[in-house]
Amino acid sequence: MKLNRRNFLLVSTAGAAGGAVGSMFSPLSWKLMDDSSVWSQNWPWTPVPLDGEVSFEETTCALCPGGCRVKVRKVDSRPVKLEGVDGGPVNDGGICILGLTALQLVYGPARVRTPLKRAGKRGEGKWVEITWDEAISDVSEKLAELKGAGQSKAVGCITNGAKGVTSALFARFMEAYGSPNHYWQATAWDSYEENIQRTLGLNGSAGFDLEKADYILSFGAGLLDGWGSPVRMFQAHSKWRENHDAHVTLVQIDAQLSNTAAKADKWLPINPGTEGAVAMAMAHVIISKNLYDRGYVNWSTTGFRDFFRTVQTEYAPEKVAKIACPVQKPEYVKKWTEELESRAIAFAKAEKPLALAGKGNGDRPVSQAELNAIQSLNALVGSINREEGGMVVIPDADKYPWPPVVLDADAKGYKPALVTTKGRTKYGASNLLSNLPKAINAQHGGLKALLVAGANPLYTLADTEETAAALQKIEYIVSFASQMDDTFTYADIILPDHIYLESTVDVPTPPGFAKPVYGLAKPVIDPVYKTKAMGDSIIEIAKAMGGTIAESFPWGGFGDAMEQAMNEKWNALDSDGVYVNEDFQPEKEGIRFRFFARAGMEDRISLQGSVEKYPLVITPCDTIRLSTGALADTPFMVKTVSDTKLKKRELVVQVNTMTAQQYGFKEGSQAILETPVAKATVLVHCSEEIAPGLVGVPRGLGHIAYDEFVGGKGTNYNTLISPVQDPATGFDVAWGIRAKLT
Amino acid sequence: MTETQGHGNQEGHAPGSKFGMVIDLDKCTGCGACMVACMAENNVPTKPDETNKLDTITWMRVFKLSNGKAFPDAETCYLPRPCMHCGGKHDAGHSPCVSVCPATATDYSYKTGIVSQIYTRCFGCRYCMGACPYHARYFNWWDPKWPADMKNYLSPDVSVRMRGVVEKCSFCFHRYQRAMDLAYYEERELEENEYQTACTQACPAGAITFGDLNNEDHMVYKVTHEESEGDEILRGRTPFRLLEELETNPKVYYLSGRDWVVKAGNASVREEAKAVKDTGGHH
Ligand code: SF4
Ligand code: SF4
Ligand code: SF4
Repeated sequence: MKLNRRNFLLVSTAGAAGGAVGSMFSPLSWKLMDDSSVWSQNWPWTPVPLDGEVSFEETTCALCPGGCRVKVRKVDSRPVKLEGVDGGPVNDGGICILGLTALQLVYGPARVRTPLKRAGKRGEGKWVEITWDEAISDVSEKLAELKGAGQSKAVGCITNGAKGVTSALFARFMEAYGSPNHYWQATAWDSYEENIQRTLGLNGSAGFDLEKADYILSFGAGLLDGWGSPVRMFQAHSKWRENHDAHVTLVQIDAQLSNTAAKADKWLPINPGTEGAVAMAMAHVIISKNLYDRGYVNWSTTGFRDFFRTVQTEYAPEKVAKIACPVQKPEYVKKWTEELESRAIAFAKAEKPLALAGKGNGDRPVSQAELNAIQSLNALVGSINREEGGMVVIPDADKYPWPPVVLDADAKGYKPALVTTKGRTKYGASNLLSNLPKAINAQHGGLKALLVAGANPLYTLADTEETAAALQKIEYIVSFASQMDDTFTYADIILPDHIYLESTVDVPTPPGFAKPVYGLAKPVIDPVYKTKAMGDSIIEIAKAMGGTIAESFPWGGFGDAMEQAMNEKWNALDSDGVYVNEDFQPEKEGIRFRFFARAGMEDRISLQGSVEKYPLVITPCDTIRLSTGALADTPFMVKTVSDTKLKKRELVVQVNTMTAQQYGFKEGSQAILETPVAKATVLVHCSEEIAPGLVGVPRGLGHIAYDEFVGGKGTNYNTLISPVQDPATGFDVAWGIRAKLT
Repeated sequence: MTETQGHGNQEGHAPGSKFGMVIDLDKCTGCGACMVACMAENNVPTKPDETNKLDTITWMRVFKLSNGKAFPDAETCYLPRPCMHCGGKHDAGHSPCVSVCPATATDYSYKTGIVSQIYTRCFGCRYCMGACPYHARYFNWWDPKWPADMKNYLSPDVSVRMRGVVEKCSFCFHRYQRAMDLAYYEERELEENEYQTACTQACPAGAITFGDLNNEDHMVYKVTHEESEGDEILRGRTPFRLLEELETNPKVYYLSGRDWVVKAGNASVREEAKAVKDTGGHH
């Protein structure tokens, strides 16, 4: 064997165990290699990774709600890579692009390594390191002071959703403290929860038996763009492709040729925002052709008569085509309408059809009108609670069996939340975070302090300027971020969280999964820096505050609270890291689906801006390579982002070639993209994957913080748009905004 | 399909393995997991700006093909491209890149069929990059950097490259070494699942199958031999390779049920690269 560094390393690592380490650092070896190589390049210092014993440790990825079982490969105590775990109930060996790169979150330059306190002005980026004791007392003293001054309702809290033990601890803290202002940002899955309550009268989340369905109508759901549990979706798609006995058909009804549309058997392009109307048109076809499931409709639904009448009079396919068909040329409209009809027929005739909603990766809510329409299709073909390949309701988990919260007189008193609801929602105003900035800005002294736990509202809320103004009005912002995220820049004090690999985290049933599964992450590496699990931080803050608040947190630490919360699931979770309820049976007895007659066109969510001033419409583009939530991309993920989405530091928008020509743009032209709320410089990418008149804007770019790998790249989609409320729930259901390109 | 020839008889070597891949383009969703799995496995660095796709190092790169039709008839397809580990004409080991390297820094292994890259010998003339019709080779224009503590996650199995050398996909050769060591130690043959590349393992869609093209028991053999029982995976599709007519004998096969994709694969990759560029380049 010729001696070279590569072979040499392999020799030294052979057999794994430590012994070889010594020789790796022996100067003699390096000298020999030098002599035997022909060199013309510089050989400055490059790192030589330490060798050692290789081991694997399993845990549950907690970077998204997906619930994948993963394993970390370690060299001695050092983690070097993440991989999927074979047989994981959700991901069976698979892992996604984010999960694979979790170590960049651990070691990357954007990691918050120690508690920090703001030194300079807000946004100046000057911080001083403080100890954990100082951090805990700083926060508890400030909160005690506000409570003492009768201002408990002026403390707000934002968590990443409502599910899971950490969020529950923060909710509990707010209750004991006496503030109604705990919020999170609603997603398509919150919309489903609302819809399940309205149409089925149940409290639960939507589950889809996608692996067994045989005809799938997806109304813009980015099934392969991050929707649901992403790895599970990739695997379900591969199963559809492998199915020999019965071909599984995926029809993607989408404004653009998304990755999901590209993989679908049929892409039916539509104008964005007409999903509900198209679903109603399909219902029209199914009913007119008498193809609906009479048994289900007669015995298990209410309101069919009114629905029938509306559908027959208002939603003839020819009529819907006028608003939904993206190319208004007569021949094409005819073809499009025929396609809609034949797909509706095939759907109704299929054995296990299933209709899905949730735009893009599903982190944006969907209007109730649209969901009513799409769920009506499931009801018409009897897909709700069907034995196989249908939609099921996963009942909400019982409240954790924790001792009751102890309330003092202040906490017992009724205080209205800052955000008020016009519509009715299951969680009151809590998941209306999208309305919080306006509420803060409208009132004087709305919030004096804010706890931001696992959320990044400055990035994820529509209308960044409004959000920034609201944050600016809050005196004291506490961030529990593990990364220097966008909201971090407005914080006054940081109590940095662990990365899940260093921590215990529970992962409730992933969105869209058809049976209850619970995952647990357990520490597989020692905390690398001076960080602390958010759950422990809030418990310590509560304890430091004393009184009833401390009494409400009787646990020694987060681990105890977790164990008690998991209750009968704990043993399974503790030993296997996962708990699957294999015997799960959805509730069927006496469950009736309620058809809503008024769905679709009249409730169509209209966008801000006039057609005259803003002739184009912005529609977002989602891809799994761009994280859009509280967690940003990792450096490796950014590296994979297409140059048709990001070029140097500029956002690239997708414009149909004809539209580009019409406005005098060529491939790569620079342009100003203007909406009623903001302006941005962008580059134009001429595309055939999007309808004329639309501007496709990738989501997930334009972070203002982080590091040189992730921050300052492109424009955040959310800066360009503003929220539009669903009249039924108050959720922000804006699916775009009007715009112009100059 | 060209009958694959055992290279075992070449140059007096004992019959060896011939590792290769079959990538199902109908399953690939373009998610990019294979790209980052490769970066993490092989200590590939990343720069603050990676939007110039000519200087971004991605041993595994996922291209986006387009059928060239206008909206709404446009169709796209992702195509993951590792190094093809070309066997060259008659599969004799004369890979385009190996043939031109003046420093013998890249070599064809008759034992595995893997085209290696020996960084310490490479002096950066980049002839191989010009010779490779698949653009599978990358040049280190800069020293690699791992700011903050990112060097702590580097793997000891793969040496870190320096400015001035060319690098490319190795079919995760270090994994072969580790697996062989174990098999040798336990005095047995290497099992199919023991040596898998990082991208194969990571692909959440299960789109990549990796194994020994010379081993009848391996799935890649079955899929690439018509008479065999690869039908489960093939489902009427014929495996194709990129630029068959150049006789580079790539060891990476593709499957697609779409005619235009198969055609695009057989067209010149240079034309293809151009077409891809016209529709916006790297995805
Ligand atoms: S899909 Fe979600 S849970 Fe699974 S690996 Fe990716 S980030 Fe982790
Ligand atoms: S990981 Fe698999 S599905 Fe994703 S881009 Fe690579 S080959 Fe395609
Ligand atoms: S793909 Fe390119 S680099 Fe790889 S063996 Fe063939 S010619 Fe060489």
